[in-house]
Amino acid sequence: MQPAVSHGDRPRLPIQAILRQTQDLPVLPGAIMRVIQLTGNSDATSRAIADAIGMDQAVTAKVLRLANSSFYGLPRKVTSLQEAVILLGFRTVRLIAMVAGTFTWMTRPLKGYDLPPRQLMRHSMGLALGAQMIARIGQFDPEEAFVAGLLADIGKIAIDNCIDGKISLMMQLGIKGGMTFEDVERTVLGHTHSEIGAHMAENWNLPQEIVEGIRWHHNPLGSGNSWLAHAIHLADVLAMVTGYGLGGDGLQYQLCEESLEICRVSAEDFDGLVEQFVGAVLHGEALLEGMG
Amino acid sequence: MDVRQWNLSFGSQSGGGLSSHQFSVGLAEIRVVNGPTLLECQGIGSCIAVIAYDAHACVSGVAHIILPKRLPSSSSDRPGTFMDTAVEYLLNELVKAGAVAERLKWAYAGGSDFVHLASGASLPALELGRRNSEAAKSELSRLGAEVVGNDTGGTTGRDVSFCTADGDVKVRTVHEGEKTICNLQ
Ligand SMILES: [Fe+2]
Repeated sequence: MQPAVSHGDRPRLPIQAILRQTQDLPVLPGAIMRVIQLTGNSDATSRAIADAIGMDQAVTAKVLRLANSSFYGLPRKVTSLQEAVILLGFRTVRLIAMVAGTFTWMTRPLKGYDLPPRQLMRHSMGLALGAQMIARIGQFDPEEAFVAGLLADIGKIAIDNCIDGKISLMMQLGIKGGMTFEDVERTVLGHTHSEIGAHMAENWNLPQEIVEGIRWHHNPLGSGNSWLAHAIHLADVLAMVTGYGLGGDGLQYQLCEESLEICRVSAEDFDGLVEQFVGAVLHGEALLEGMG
Repeated sequence: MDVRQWNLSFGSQSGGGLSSHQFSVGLAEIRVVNGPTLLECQGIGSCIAVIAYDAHACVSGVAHIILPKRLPSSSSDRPGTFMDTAVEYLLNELVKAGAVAERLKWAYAGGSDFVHLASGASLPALELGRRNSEAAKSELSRLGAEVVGNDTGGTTGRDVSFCTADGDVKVRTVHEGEKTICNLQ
């Protein structure tokens, strides 16, 4: 095992090399990439969205299962993508498609981060729903916030193997040294899960705002002034304080107070925000109830 | 026993793999059990798990509490959400289940906060873990509860468990492993 201490001259593995070491690296289905691109297009029609998702049978089955969950409470069972788009709207179907397309790898256990099966998915749903909630308060784009929040921690999947067995030492290092977990990741691996996640999103040709939102979700001031990075950051804060899909990295992060102002909430409203978040995620669990 | 379950369901209710006497107590949930049981709260951040046990009656309970007090704007109808309603609710439920208030022994754990660098003095409103810990202490004292142990503060997540078999309250963190913080027998 590598010692979990800082080596100033430690050779940094390039991100590409780290990603090459990861077996089963998450792949965003082509159908989902197409759906994300379509939504930016004002000509996107129900049919185009349905056709794009329909290219992937596995994703299609999951989309229909999600659309039929009690979360949406549809009056009748939806049996085709087009019906789903008509009843739920293409914006909602796009979000459902994101959940469907990431579900398989989001539900895997991450032993390195001490996340049992499904806990990364819970945490990511917390970030998605939390960022959506904050975007509504701040009058930003809630759909974009959902997508970026959902993907914020994907870098953890890629580096989980690299930190397997090290998290205890990494946390000791963070606690004793007053370092955030990102500082520790940088010390041990040369990169943070945020940087690696942004790199993956870039490889998937996701919109640049989403890439930057992922990159800066623990340090949103670094993004310049991306509201998206601040909204994901606050959502992550809410998920961590409530322990929603909490990993071994715990709360070993900094809270960026400026994010509150940028997202138009006051610190005095923090408890109200926490209560609202818990309501949103407990309600959101109905979405995944039929997913086995 | 390792309290972390590797086969949790999405919901807060006990899921696949938990035996019928074993309960995972989720956000804002209050669970009272008459008889042998293992009660667990997984991944506590700034929240607080309040645990009580009457060994003579073998009645135990856990509340997974999120916030110090009910707000004027609160719409939650779950008494387990707020310290100023949850602990009293838990006490009443324990008594209804056959516990005697004077015999109950109590413990609480949780209340972590983010890392604050020395230069970055934070707003108290954002230190939810510290405020929750203080609220637990004062609410338990207001109710005359006999508190035999607590484990609060820091920056890590905690898995908290209580087992009637030995009366131990255990806390697991990744950096310190599992430790027994007190015994409620
Ligand atoms: Fe993260």
